[in-house]
Amino acid sequence: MTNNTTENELNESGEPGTEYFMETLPGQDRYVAPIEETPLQDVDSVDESAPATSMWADAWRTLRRNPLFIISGLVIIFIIVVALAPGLFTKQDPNACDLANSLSPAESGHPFGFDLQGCDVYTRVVYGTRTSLSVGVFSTLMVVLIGTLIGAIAGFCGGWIDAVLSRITDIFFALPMLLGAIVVLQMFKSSKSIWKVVLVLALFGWVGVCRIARSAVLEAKNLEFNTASTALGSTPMRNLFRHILPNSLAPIIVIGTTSLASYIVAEATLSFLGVGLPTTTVSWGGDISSAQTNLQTDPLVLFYPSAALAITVLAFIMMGDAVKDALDPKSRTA
Amino acid sequence: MTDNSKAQMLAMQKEHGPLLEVKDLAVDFTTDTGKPVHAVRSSSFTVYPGQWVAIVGESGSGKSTSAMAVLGLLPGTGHVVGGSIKLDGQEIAGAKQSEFDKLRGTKMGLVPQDPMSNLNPVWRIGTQVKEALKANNMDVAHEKRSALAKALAGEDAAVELKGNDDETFLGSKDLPALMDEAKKALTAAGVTGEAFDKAVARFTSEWVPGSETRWRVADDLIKAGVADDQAWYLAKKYVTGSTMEDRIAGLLSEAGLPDAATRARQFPHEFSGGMRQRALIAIGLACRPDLLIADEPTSALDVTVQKKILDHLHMLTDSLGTAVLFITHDLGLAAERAQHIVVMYKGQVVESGPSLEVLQHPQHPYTKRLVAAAPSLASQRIISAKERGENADALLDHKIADENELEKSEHIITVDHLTKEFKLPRKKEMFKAVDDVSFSVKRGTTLAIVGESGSGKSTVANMVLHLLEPTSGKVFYEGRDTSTFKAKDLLGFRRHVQPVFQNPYGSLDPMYSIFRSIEEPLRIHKIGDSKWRANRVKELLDMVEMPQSVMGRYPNELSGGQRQRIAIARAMALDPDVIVCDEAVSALDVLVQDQVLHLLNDLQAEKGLSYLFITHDLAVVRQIADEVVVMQHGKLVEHATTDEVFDHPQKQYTRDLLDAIPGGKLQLGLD
Repeated sequence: MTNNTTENELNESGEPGTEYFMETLPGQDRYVAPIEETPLQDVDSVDESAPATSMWADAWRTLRRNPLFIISGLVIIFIIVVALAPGLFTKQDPNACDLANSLSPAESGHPFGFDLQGCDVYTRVVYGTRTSLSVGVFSTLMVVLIGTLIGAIAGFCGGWIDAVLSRITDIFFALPMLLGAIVVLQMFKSSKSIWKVVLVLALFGWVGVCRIARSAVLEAKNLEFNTASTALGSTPMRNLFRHILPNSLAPIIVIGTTSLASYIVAEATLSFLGVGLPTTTVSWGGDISSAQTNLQTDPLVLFYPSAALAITVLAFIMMGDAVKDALDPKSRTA
Repeated sequence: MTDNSKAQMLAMQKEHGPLLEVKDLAVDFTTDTGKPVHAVRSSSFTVYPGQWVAIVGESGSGKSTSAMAVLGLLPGTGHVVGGSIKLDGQEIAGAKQSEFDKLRGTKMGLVPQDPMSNLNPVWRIGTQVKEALKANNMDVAHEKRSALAKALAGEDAAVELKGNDDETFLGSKDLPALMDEAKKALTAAGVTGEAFDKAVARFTSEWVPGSETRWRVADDLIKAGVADDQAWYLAKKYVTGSTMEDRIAGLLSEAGLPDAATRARQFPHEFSGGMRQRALIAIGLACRPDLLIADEPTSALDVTVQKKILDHLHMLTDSLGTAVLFITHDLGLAAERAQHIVVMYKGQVVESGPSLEVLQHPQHPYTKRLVAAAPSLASQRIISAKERGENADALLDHKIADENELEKSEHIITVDHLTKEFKLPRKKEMFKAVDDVSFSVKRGTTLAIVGESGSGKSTVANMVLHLLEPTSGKVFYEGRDTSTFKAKDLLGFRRHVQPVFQNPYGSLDPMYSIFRSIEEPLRIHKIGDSKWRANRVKELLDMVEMPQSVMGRYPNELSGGQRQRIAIARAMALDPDVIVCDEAVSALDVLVQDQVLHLLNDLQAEKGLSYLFITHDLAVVRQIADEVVVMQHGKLVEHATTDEVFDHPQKQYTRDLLDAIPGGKLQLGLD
């Protein structure tokens, strides 16, 4: 059946294959499209009209169009402004409390009322922003730095170094973060400070980033452009810093943004439990802790710092989701 | 097939009318911005029962989209916006998915392109075949055969078909008894000696449970010399229908899988690419569709495997009377396999007609271009621009360079008894990927290493590039042993010997702009200042015929061929002597492949480069190489000049490879 020539009749010159007539079925006649309809283009020509895009430019374009990103971005900018310049939002001192105002309801100039100590709740919520945000940001930075470093070394070197580092990671992974933090912070109960909280959170938080970084580096390490680069004369270290790490950044950034919120929550929890920040530092966790005693009579005192905490955490989680969508399109849900 | 049955078939096809009739089909995809993209416009083609029709075109030409529209499987936002698709006279353009569900499987089957991702890794192969049978409520005890198939089956049609019962399959539990009785019957009929052995051997190979039918068994017995009555008595007694397991094994063995019953219990990861494709063919044909759509079914496979699979598919569809809509980018393959060719370009059918006629007298400029570029149809080495006399000045330069080179050694790269062993997981013995291979590359020429996947050709390339340590043997560059190179020598070596890799999507760092990618080797070797380097990058882009505007772009914006040209520009940045091309054009469309091959060839003539060209495609070898090394299972099989290998191949393996080039034997008369 492959050979149609059996059906062919030879032309008069008797030369086979050059000119022949074959019975074609209806609808299968010879057809040639008019050339004007399908003008021929250059083979594989570059589309110069499209704007140049890099991976980051692409991600930015996706982000810009994501309502989740716009909303969370605006909220986060607002939170950052409050944290940097609380003076813009309130003229009062969060620690200037007058017991005479204890648990007084809202009044002009004091929209959220007063707490048990007679401090202005609104002012304390505003000033607490800085604490929460700095704990979140600094913990995340440290976690990402430590995690990426150890993960990259493990993934890049492989062999026994990877085995040892991975087991250490496993050990830390087995320790519950909050429990570990409580135990360690108990030891420093007499000398609490914001840096100790950050350090402790980083100590128990780096493993997550480390695992992600290790697998990202492992994946990027086996991509062909590294071989290409080696064949061009590049050293392994150069490959690591110029090719592998930049290509591993996306998942690390994603986990960094999403985990920022969890550090803010962890700090609030630790402060609530009394092992976190010193009582002299204004923080949402501390305020929630002191407000709980009067929850039944004055729920609003507890509500305001809690709401501030929830909004902040929500904004960062939403931002994390948006960033994830932009940097890792595969994870997108429909 | 005899002229008689051929005419019979033609009459049959005419009487039946078209099986698939696509008229003025238009398919749109909607983009994020809501703007429609016209993937297919006013395309028409017709498929008759029992016919192979090929749709040929480059990637993005709309060939797969047209086929998927027929199947009702358009991906994502694609939808039919115009025209009609008639299957057996029934309009199916715009039909509901539930209607398509009824058609797919029994009326239309699909053999998809990528055998690696189209089988579910967590299910056994047999289970996946069973799924196809169950989903369509197939009777696993009887063959389903259309009236057309019976008529088309030529000689078989002469056998009187007594209703459905004669299409009963042989079951595995009855096979031993049938075989015993058959032997007795043969003896009784007076068949002895060699004839007896031959008949038994034939029964053993033909009588596959779940695939062989009653009347065929009877037919085989009669042909072997058993009396008609006795033969039909035995066939009726012992051929009583197959079980699901038998049918699955039967289908797999029909698709060419040896030892099918055992294979059916294996998982996809235990199969090679070719075996997976056979399993997919078995699934596609499981419900005996009238139309099989094969979307580049063998593009991912070695040529010899491709030939075997397509030969088998041809035999199978011929005997079943299945029409095949065959989608491919290879014109040679299309012309060899199909009676009717449809050429698509930019979403439109630009030319169609009987395949030989289209191939021999292409009319549309695009078809002409395709015919000219098809490597399988090329008969000689590409002539470089210089030799075509397009630039006489440079030719003089080249001559001067030649005189200087005379002082250097003749062989720029020499590979001496190279062996590489790998440790396999869970196995004690070492695996010899490369086994005692020696050859040398003459300065200014191209040496091609040809072999199938797993032949060790890429391992040789990596050892030549000093990316892998050989287990034993040496690689010499300019007469110097590369294994003795220390850091500084190695950097110098890297400067002179450059690679171009297979995967144009993987070999460029996606985070680097084109400018930085090309500039990278200059930075590594600390050559020139930033201004000099910028100029050099522009020069290199000109050299590979890319516009300078791509400098600020990123690899993801370029096509495969464009990326490969960037990779070549990067390799050329340091003015190397040797370029190792590891399957550098394998992933590209024929036209783009042709363009890159011409570029490589022109660069060679201009710069006096030497190439070590690794490929699985002998057709490409003819276009680019001066000498050929054929490798199989890590060993060097044959080493000779290109003409010698093509005209007088010495080894059977080389001949097999040559035979497998699609369309190699087609006569071409270009207008």
